[in-house]
Amino acid sequence: MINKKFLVSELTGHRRRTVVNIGLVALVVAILLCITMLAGALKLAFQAPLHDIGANIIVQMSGDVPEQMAGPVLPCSVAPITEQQSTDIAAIPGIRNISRAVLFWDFSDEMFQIVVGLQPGDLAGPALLRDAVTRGRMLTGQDRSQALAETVWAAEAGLQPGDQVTIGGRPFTLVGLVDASRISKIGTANLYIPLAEAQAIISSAPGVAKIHTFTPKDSNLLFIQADRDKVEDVAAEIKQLLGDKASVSTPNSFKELLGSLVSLSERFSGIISTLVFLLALLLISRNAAAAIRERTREIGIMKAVGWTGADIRSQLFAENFLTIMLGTALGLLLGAMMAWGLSFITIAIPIPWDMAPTPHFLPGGGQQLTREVHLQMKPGLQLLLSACFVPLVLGLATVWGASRAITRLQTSEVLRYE
Amino acid sequence: MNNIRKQVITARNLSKHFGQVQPVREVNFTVQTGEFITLLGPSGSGKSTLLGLIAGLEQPSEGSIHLQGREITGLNENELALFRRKHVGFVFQAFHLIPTLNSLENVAFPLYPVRMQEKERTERAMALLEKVGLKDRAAHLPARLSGGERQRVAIARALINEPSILFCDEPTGNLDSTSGGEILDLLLQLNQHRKLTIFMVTHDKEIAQLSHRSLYMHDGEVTAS
Ligand SMILES: Nc1ncnc2c1ncn2[C@@H]1O[C@H](COP(=O)(O)OP(=O)(O)OP(=O)(O)O)[C@@H](O)[C@H]1O
Ligand SMILES: [Mg+2]
Repeated sequence: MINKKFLVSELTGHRRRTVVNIGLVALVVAILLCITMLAGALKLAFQAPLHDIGANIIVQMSGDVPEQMAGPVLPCSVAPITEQQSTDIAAIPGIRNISRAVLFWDFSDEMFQIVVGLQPGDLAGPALLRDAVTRGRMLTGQDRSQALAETVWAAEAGLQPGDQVTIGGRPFTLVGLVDASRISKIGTANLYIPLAEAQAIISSAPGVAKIHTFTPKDSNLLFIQADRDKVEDVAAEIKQLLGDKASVSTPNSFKELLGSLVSLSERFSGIISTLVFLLALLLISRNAAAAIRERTREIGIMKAVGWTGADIRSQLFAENFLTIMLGTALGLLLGAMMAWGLSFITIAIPIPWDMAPTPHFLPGGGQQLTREVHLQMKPGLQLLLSACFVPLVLGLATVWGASRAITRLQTSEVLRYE
Repeated sequence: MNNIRKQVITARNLSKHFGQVQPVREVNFTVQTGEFITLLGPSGSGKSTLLGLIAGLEQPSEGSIHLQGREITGLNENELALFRRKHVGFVFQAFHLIPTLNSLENVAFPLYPVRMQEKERTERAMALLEKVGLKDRAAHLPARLSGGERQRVAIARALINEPSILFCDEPTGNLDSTSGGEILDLLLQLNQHRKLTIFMVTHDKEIAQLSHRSLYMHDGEVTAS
């Protein structure tokens, strides 16, 4: 039976010991929590650029640079992907859906424009622009010679819904303006048209035919949604299917892009949390053991006056349980505060030129695009549970061990103690 | 049968080894109910070790001990603890109070693991504090008590389980003569009025003269007076 009065007076009577113990547990819990949340937040951050566009894999092929910048041409980072290839890819297990698009540059006498062909009903890719319409409407499945224009570009070109534009020598009517920056910087363009129209333009473009074969069913950008735990496997399979020229981007690619620092810190967060964990183990057990050793005399007295081993153990157990619970609660609070502080940090994830090709000879063409991401310090239930559980189990196990050793101590020691 | 019940302690051929050291050698003696026994002997002669054996704090290497007619030699730790809780009280030279508990709580301490009403426990402890003359010190922590007062709290604690034997290891050893005298008076009173059996280790010849009988210990061996 645990005596509450004794429990409380032991904790309040040895205030320094209690405070140190609670503080130690709190610190360990807070650090553990923060490191894990940080690692999770970084992982989410790397997913952000692709997540924005509803995909977790983007597939492109690299090809030759156009011979001449005239008429519709394919930038070197988006060579054709044949219909057969995309059908083969769609059959890879783990892929939930696949959206095809065609990106091209269109040069006319004194104009240059980037154009993307999209299927309005798609679940990923530029079809997500449906959520970014600022004026007019989104394209529909019935549209043929209708187009969308990017808001900022349209303003500079003095265009608005209802105006006529020429793309690949064909007339299109603007039906809406979209703010592409709301969606993603991947595969962004000045003008968006139905996929079939883009395929028709590219398959009949002489500038393309000089270096590629492009049938009206082909595309050059794939936005793929794969099961989260299979992303890397699927990506590897796609690479194998398409060969050397394929460029397959996954969240991992962004991590590598961001440089050694982050990928290093991410790789080592496992090691760091293991270290913290070991440190915790050491400190908590040392502390629990010391607290009990300190009490050898008390334990001798308890034994002498007729407390059984079980009585003593449950009392010590209760005391440490309470200490660790308080420490854990404080640690969660502390960890939450630290996480809150860290959530104000943003990191800039670079978007490779290949994914949003703009001719280098244009002003700002070679500029590095980035996606600013706030670290999302999300405490998962599993994380919270383990943060509570770890010190509890650790602490109590060591207390149990230590108190077992102590209760085996010679009771007659109490006669000798001065 | 009658005879056995009157013998509250029976030690037969008791020995204790610690490796090469043998502080208790083939000790035999009996103590009758209601007796006040003192155990004298030079420092290091094995008095505390013997006390530990007959009080069931430690197991002998050889021999047997009967306490209250019960053979305690074969009991395990748990059974010994319960036996002590029921039958035995201790008073130590170093008082051994729990520093974070006040006088009243210290007196009630042996009953903490016992399932009983807090009120009853407190009442019993308070009655004992009153008996040892410390009713007005009930809320004091040990650090705020004098040595004599601490030992009186310790005696009250030793009595809370209404033991049949009180074991004392130099209970006046850390006290000046005045408070030592008071403690002794208290113990004598308990022995006379309550017929409490007292087994006391002491260096003090005067105390020995006040007791019913003295045992002498020398090099682990006991001789009766
Ligand atoms: N656990 C032990 N391990 C080894 N030796 C021990 C142990 N306990 C006691 N002894 C030894 O046994 C001998 C007797 O010790 P004990 O404490 O019983 O003497 P004592 O008569 O009570 O002495 P004092 O009057 O100084 O209290 C000593 O030599 C002591 O060192
Ligand atoms: Mg001694």
